[in-house]
Amino acid sequence: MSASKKNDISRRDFLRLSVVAAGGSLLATQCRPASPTAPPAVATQSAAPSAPAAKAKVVIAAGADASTEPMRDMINSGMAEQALGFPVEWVELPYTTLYEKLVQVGSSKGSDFDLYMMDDPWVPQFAGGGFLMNMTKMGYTPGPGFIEKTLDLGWWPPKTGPRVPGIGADVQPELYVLPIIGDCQIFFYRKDLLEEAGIAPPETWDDIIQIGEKLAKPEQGLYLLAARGVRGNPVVTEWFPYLYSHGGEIFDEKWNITFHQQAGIDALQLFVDLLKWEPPGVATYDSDEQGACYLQGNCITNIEWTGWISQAENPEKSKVVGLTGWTTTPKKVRSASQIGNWVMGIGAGSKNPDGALKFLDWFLRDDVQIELAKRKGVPVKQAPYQDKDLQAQFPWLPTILHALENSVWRPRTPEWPKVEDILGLHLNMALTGQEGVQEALNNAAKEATDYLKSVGYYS
Amino acid sequence: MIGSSLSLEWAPSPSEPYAVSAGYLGGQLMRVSLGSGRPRPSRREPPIRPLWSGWGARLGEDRALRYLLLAPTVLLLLAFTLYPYLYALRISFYAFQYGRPTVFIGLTNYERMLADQTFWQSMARTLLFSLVVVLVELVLGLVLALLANREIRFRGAIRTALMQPMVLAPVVVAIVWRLLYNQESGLLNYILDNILHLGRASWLGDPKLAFLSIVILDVWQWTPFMFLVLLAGLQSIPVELYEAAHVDGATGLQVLGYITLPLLNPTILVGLLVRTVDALRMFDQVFLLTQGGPGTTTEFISLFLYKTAFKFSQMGYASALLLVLFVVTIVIALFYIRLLGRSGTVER
Repeated sequence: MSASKKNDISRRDFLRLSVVAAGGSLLATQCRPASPTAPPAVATQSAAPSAPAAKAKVVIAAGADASTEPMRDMINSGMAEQALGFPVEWVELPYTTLYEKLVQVGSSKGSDFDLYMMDDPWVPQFAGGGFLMNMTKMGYTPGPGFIEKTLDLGWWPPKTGPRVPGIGADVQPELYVLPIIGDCQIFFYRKDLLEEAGIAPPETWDDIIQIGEKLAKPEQGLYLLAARGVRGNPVVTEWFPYLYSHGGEIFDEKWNITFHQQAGIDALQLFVDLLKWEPPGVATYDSDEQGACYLQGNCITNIEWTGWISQAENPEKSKVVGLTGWTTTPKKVRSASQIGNWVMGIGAGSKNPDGALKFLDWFLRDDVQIELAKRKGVPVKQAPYQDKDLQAQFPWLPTILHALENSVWRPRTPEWPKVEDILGLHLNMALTGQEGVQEALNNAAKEATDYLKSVGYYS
Repeated sequence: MIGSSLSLEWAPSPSEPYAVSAGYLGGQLMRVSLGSGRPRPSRREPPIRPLWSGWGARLGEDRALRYLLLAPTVLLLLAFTLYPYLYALRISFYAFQYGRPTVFIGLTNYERMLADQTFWQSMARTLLFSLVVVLVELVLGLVLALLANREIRFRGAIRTALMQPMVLAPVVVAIVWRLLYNQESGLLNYILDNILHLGRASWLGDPKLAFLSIVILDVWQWTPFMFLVLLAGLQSIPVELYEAAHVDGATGLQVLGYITLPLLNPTILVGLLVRTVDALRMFDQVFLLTQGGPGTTTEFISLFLYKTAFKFSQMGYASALLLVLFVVTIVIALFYIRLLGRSGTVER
């Protein structure tokens, strides 16, 4: 071996060095707080937040959605900064991206955002996973005037309903998030068409069928309604008011599946029967297609989220401005829509929790909530709904209040996304004729039960 | 007979691993390089001298320096590629779900995977999809490349136009195709119904059509890639071979079978390798168009993996799925690389 060769690093040596370096970095990262052994079942946020940063900005990770637009515009117009004395930054992300980003930041206690805007079913995962600060331990008590159903969303474990395995009845609920946008499902209908035909505003599913028989002309492109039928969350959300209005539920108090019982079968049969008056291909529809059907004047009615009110009344987006009537979702034995509030909590890694809490306190003041309603937003406090002038100006407000007070939240368990996916698959298969009504529900119930068993339920 | 006058034979040697004995021309065996179409310089030729000289040149010859210069890249690759996989391997042995205690469960995630029908079905669907789209794209890409390789008018404009779908972001393509497939107002149904009078199809809602719809979209977007790769391969084939074949009276099909395809074989394999690996991770279009539906007809393994990780927050199980997908991809890639080695483009 020559002298020069002797001093060389061989390929094998180089690889050996690289592996040692990689192993070192691997070992070093095991000391991170976000290692797999880290997350506790229930967050144990220490009592007080760190020292406040007086003029430090508050960064909000927000959902991009029709219902959040009025709030966004209020913040971007400088209202919050003017009132609070520090800047508030609105970082808007599409729904799915928001969820992924928040899981990423929350699980590593990142400080990218001070406030997390969340869909309310995320609360079990985010509060239970320690992604959020505990507002109760921060000494915060919500003031009066909230619509009770909306405020109830913020507690973990939940104040009512079954609790997930590992969290006993003796664990006191604590506040992790506050409601921000009171979004829920309501029923849109074309009051001009109904008045012309001498039909009263619909209240029951029988009324809806009557409208279908009298007014719907699918062959001419005029449909009774359009369901969000695409598999997963959309079709489950759409079916939810059918199920609950028939007296059904997803779970009983012991997490046993109940959606495949008679109420569920009747609800799904109705869901499938209405397809004859719906646009072809609703099994692929999500909210955009569903909303477009109504805004373009092709649907006579629709179950819509309150966020769509501003769209329906916007002449740039809608052909039915001024033609819509609003009511609660149709009933069989009751009217019960799904509540889907945007809620907001303080990130566990926030550098400015005091500022974040001040922002929440400001946004939930009655006068600010009234301003939100004036911008066609959906408040979570009673004050705007009780204001007679606002009621006259925005006729949908009483309907929203009634819907919120009678709404139903989605099951409070981190396993809900998986159960929802299973149910969503089989509902979609029922819509496309791949499974019969009872078959679809039985299959979904069996798969969901098997899954829940595998993760420690029923033991 | 062309077969007796023109033969192909690959005879790699340490000095010329790329050389192919490609034809009998004027009594002399002609040797060509697949890479550039030009003969490779022999080792007896003087080496190319670096532009710099003195101690810098000596350093340039130092193997230690070469490894030192490589080190940042290799370390970055280790940090961003190897480390995540090692971390995923570790997590795959845990029940790791946000909101629940993390527990070491050994091989349970892998056992669950073996018993999981959804996993097997989505994996089989993904492999079928990859096979179908890659084969269709190969055939279409080859036909287009053969046409575009000819001296035709507006050749540059045609080539540019053919490559357009490939340069679009998959998300944009998915949104556009969602509009095209729309049952009520989509262009495809307008043509089917108003022009051809065949009625409307539920492209994404019909379980029998949804898979095909995703295949059509993928073929539309990625055939240009195959076209581009094959066109480059065609242009590297020396024109002298075609001239020889012409002199020997070869027909078009014989030229295709005895010259073009054999010499294009390594390029085809490279195209197949890249597209197969790419097709295995099909996600964006399905996510935006069908969410895996109707039913499970378009649920590919990447979508299943995504939902397991980010929707159901089952990071442990998702990591196990990821590693299995990684191994499947590696096996397929190695298969192609082995074929490439046989075809003479990879030094073994």
